[in-house]
Amino acid sequence: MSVPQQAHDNQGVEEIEGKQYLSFLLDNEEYAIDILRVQELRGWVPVTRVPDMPEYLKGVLNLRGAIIPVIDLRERFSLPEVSYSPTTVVIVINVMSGDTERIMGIIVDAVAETYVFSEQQVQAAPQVGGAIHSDFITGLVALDERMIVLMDIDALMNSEELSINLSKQETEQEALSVE
Amino acid sequence: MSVDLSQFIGEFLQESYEGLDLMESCLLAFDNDPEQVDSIFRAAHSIKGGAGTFGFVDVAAFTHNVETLLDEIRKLTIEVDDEIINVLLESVDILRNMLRATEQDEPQNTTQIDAVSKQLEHILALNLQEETSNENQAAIDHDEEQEESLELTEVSSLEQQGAVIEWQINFSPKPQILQSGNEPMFIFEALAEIAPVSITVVYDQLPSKDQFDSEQLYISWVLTLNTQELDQTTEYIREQINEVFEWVEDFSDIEITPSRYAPKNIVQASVDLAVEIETDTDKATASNAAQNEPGNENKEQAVPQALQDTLNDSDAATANLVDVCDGDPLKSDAGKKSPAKEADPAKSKATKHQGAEINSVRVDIERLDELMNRVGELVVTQAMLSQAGKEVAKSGMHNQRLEQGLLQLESNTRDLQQDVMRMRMLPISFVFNRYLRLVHDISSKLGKKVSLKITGEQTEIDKTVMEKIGDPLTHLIRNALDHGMETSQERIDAGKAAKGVIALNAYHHNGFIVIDVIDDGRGLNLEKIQQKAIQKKLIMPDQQLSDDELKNLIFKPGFSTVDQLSELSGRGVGMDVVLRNIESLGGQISVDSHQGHGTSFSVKVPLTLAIIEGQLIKINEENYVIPLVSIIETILVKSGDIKRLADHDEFINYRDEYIHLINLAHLFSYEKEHIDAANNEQMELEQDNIEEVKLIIVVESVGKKVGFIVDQLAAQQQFVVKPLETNFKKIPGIVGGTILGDGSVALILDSAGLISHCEQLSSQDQSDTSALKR
Repeated sequence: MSVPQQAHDNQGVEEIEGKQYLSFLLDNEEYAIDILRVQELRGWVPVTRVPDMPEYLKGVLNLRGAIIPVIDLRERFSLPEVSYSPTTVVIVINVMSGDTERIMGIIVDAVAETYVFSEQQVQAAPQVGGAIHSDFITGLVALDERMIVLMDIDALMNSEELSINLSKQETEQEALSVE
Repeated sequence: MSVDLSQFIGEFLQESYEGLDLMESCLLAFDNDPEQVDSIFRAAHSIKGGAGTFGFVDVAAFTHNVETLLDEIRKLTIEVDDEIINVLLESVDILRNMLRATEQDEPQNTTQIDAVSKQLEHILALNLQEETSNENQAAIDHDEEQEESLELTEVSSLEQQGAVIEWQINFSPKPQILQSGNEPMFIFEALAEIAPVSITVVYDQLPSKDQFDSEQLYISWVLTLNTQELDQTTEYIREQINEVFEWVEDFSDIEITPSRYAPKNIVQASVDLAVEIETDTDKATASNAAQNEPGNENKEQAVPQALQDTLNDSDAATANLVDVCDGDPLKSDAGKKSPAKEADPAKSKATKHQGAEINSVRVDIERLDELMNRVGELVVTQAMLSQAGKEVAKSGMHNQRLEQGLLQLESNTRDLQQDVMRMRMLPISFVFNRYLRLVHDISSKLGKKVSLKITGEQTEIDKTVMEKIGDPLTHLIRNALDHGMETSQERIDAGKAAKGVIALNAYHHNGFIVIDVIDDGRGLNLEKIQQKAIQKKLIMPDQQLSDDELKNLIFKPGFSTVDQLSELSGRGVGMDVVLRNIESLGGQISVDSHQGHGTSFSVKVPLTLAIIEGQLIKINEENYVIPLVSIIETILVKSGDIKRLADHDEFINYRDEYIHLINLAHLFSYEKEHIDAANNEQMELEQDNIEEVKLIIVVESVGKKVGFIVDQLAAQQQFVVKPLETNFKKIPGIVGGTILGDGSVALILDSAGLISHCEQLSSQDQSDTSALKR
């Protein structure tokens, strides 16, 4: 009984044999993240700065009552700074840190497209080169003439610099050592 | 049809724990007041009843022993001494453990239980001997018969309803039973506790007047007990009945025959009854606390009328309850007190009559938290709307309906917020009462005589704050007992009363709760503190410190003046932990002491953690909130009055005291250019001798005052606190964030955290002066 139901459901959607990704632009490169992690897209609005944070952490904003941190990916990867424009977008994503889910925003130049990539299309990430450290890349996809980088947001957002995954005491030490 | 009793177990356990707490606090404050005995007895009784209903046989059996002892105390046949109080306190502990073990399906600690049971039995056995020797049995004989006829009429209404199992007991004592010290009246009372009982007297054996011997018993009884049919309790009731007759087995002929005769549809009513009794006990607990307030006396008097009305009510379950109560005068007492909590007795009567007699609802605290959050959102939305409304009005478009609506929304939102907050509030007596036991136990362990005086225990405080205030207060009280209090001899030598007093006082002050812990002990020895601090390298030997500064040294990590480590305190982790815990609540602690006269600690904590009273400030055009709890005052200082030390340390003379200034813009490392520009400007200004005025907020933490230099002051209002770590992480110096009326986020500063943060910074800066601007 459930089989025809499913077929019906899938009529409007193309046959999915892989994962859906949302891609965005960063310094003319195209990156993609798992679309299931994307909660919503927002235009850039000024955020509240948080003292003693790395430059790429632009601050926190109010997402319907929740206070979420916003990270500028350009600055995070030491790409040249640009001033924010009307196409500058904040992608609100769900990040898993351990067992807890956190909501964060990432600032990108623009949102590009949605894709479906099968596992065969994804190539292993190169060990060297590129603006982004290979730890944060799950793979590469060649599409026509372009190369799309698949980003591992959990690894990125839980990385040492953001230290969100550390216990309270460790963060305190971390904060002190920043000084 | 079977009734699933398991759904009530959680409730039963909860109420039993509360009952035990009540027993404990009454025992600790015991001064032979019959009211207290009644309260304790009632609590024990409802635990026994509940345990029986749910088939917790061990618990019921143990409680039965406790209850028997209490009953003797109630009847003044046993005199209460310290030993009995201690045994009863131990029993409370045992019961608590038993219930906990039951709850978690763990095996019972039988050796402990047996030991205390033996003690109880021992006391009872001693008493029995005494009783036998000096009791005058003859007098009782006649009273007895009168009371029996009374009981007979009272129970009849229950019979009409019928119960599922009827136990017929033919009780024919031998004539000499009275000489054994047994009193049939007590047996009937004990039976009445198991279930409603009706009694028929058989007096066909009465001799003629001239043959009448006042020391012989000539009558026998037929007792009928009506109990509910619940499979797990039938056997238990038989046991209970047997237990009642255990003492008189040898002196009488007893026949016990259960019979089943009523339809099962009565079961539901019986369960209602059980619930009703539990609810009443709960309220009795609450009203017992309320009794301490003198203002309640009138209400108490007004209440019996309400009870009377309830008695007359024909509602089946209520009548049932009343019957049970009548079987036991103490229980009816509980019923009498139950409406005392309600301000209006008539109203309480009304509520009692409607819907299943439940006047209160237990709600999971998480649900209240959710509700609180939701209301927080509403407050923000409301603020947003009213700001938008003002903007509309400013643009010249007046819409009266909109403006009125917004005003109404504002007041409704505020009321709603307060109502929700009040729901989470509990009287602080929940925390205070446990210290009675603590003081009792520790002072006897230390061989000191100390009493705890509690005032303001009805002060209400948010549940989350209350949970977190317990440990710091425990530390303070232990310290007071261990370090503060002298031994009785020392006290007498010093010309003080032999018994020391620790006072625990709670009150509201400016939107905060202040809890004072005051002892009349030896006070802080400042000289010793100084020596110790030098020895522990907390201060320099040549450092000159004011008395206040010396007193506050006790809050430093690693500080402890006691020469020998003791089991209770003195590991040197005490006061700094207390300080940290209280600061994490957004609270403060201060100490005052006079050598030889005692020490007083004053703990100030917010009423709730969800909402904070704060001052909105601007630093470099960005909004921050400083919690009001830490602010002493805001002052304007001419930059000429700011003294500089070692290039970057700034001080002002604030009320004859030099305090450190912290420029928050510097601290938060706003754009270097901006700061440099400002500095240059400032230097130029100074050179030109044009005095610039600076806005300084003076804050205090642990007696240390610091001035925050800020750019601008804005509104003083309530802010809904949102922790940053939900989606981000904890940041030192920041309590959390809040959402302002325009939807933007403002960070809430943690004054204490900032001060200690700065202290660490400045110690680092001594080696690297440029680090400040990082």
